[in-house]
Amino acid sequence: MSYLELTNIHKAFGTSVAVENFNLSVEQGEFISFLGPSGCGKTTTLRMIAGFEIPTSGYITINSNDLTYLPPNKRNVGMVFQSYALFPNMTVAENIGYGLKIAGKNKSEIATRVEEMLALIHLEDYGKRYPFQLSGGQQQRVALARALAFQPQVLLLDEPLSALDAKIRVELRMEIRRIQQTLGITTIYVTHDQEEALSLSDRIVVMSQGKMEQVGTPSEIYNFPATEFVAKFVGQINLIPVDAHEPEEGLVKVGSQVVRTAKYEILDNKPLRLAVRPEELNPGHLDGANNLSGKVDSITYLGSIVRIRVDVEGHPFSLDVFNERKLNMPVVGEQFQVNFPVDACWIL
Amino acid sequence: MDQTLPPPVVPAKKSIWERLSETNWIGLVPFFAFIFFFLLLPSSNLLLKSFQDFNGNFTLSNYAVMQNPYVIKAYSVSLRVSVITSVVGGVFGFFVAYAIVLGNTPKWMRNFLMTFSGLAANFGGVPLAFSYIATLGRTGFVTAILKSICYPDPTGAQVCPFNPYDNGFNLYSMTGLVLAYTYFQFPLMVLTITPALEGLKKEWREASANLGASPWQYWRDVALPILAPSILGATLLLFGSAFGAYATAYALTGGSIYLITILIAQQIRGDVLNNPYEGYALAVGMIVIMGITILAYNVLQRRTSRWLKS
Ligand SMILES: Nc1ncnc2c1ncn2[C@@H]1O[C@H](COP(=O)(O)OP(=O)(O)OP(=O)(O)O)[C@@H](O)[C@H]1O
Ligand SMILES: [Mg+2]
Repeated sequence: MSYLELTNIHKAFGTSVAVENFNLSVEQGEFISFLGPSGCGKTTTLRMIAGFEIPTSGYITINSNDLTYLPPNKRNVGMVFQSYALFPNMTVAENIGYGLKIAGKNKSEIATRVEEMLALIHLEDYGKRYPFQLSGGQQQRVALARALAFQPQVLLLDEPLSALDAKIRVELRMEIRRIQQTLGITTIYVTHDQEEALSLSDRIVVMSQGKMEQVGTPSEIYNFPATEFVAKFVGQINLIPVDAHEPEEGLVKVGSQVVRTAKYEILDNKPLRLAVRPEELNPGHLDGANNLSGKVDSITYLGSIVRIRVDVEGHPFSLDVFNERKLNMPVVGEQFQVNFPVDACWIL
Repeated sequence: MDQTLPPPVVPAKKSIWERLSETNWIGLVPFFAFIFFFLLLPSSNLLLKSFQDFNGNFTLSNYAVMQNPYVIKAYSVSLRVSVITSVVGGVFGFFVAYAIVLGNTPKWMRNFLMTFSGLAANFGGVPLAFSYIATLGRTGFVTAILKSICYPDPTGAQVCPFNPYDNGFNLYSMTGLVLAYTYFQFPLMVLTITPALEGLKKEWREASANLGASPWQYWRDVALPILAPSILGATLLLFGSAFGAYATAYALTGGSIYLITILIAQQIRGDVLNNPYEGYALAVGMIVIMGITILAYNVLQRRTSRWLKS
């Protein structure tokens, strides 16, 4: 049995279902992200682990102890909130030491532990300050230290960075990963930011409308999305309606042009779609690859990359190329050749 | 490294006229005028007169009235009524506000309670006293109903044990006064404390539970300390409103209970001691008591709100 288990979790608020049929096994020390659009049930699932919501059915165990119905203050699970939620009437040190004080630890033990935690979050000199005297990023680091100080079994974070600005967000997310690895603490991280999930996690749970879409490593999620939802939600993708050609050979037709992919099956009435990421497409002709020809539709500069949209017999393909100075950009309306590896595309 | 820093930017000093003209102080003129004409002017007038005799000469003798046992009694009764009603009304009002904000009170009930509080907090004086007399007075209708509940006791004789006036209750007394004052005190508390309770973030409760705290520990360590400045301020407001009240008490007890306000009124009208100047001295005494209370409040406020943004 894994360290943290969620088994057949189902949660309804009145008649609306927030989470259904949720099964997840988390190993000790693993960093798991819940990734999905707003309202897909990430927070609800996290709150069930913390004890702020009770599942309508199913159960949750940590270390083989069933805690499905345990009140939140008996769970020994640390939580970091999006809004920091520091106690404004306590200093930084008092905030961090609060869990230990409640646990009845003695003063010197608390003081030592608080010092350790302050060092861990690089805020050694801030112990005597009040929360209002800190920046958002500092407050969230204190909240992290507070959630970790009493050595919880699991750390839960609900969009901890979304109230911060972009630069701090990247900085702090690396901090979180570093601290998580230093302590080896089992962590669940809720986010709707795919970059965060991809860069932080050992595994990602992609959710949509209360259901798990796919569970996998960042590379599995990105390179082998299991469903159309995942393919669209994580990264950019071309999803092009195609006609079946020779399923056994893995051949499909884009308009009149043939593309080779992996072997596929024709399920009745299910439209076939070819999936390929824009960065897998290259300009020009390449022998042994899939080659398509079309017309340049538009060119968009996105900073380090340039996105070229090519119309292939009425089907728009996007391709991303690095924005190099020596690059010869095509002209809109021009004939254009694209190629992509056979193993970089699949049928969804 | 050879870096030349740009010269520091020194803001140009502005003349006082420039600074005055750029602030929106005009909007405060009515406020200061009000304070001046209705607070500073009357109280300094009061203070001056309390040191004058009938001929307008300076004297300290007006303050000798403070040694009069009646006066001492009146102050202490006033203080007692104010403290009791502000604590009773405060605690009761706090729980009503708590139910409104944090309980699962249905929305229509909330609206009703808030509207009622707004009305009741301003319902004082003679009408309030009269309402009480009409309900709980000797011939009030609630008294009448309670009186009429009769049944035969084991011996067969008819008994009516619920008449409040047979059970030691008397509306025209200290109890009645506390009851009447509480009627406007608790809604005042509801009105002033509700916004503070609404300011308690749900995440604070959840974070404390997450750290192992029981609901009781959450209230002790987080919620009450955060609310303390507001509770203090609200209680002071209740104290002030009770301490200065006059008409309710006078109409209810007909002057049989000597509050300091009633005594002052009589003094100035010349009923008892026939010396309005002593009345001024008594009023100054009230101002001093309010002043001390506000000072104490400030000290406590500062101690309970160190963590507030200044
Ligand atoms: N207390 C509640 N009462 C009723 N419905 C709720 C409650 N909490 C959540 N829901 C509903 O459950 C669904 C899932 O909500 P949840 O907060 O888990 O989404 P989320 O994935 O965290 O979204 P976001 O990214 O916006 O935070 C939503 O449809 C939401 O409206
Ligand atoms: Mg959420």
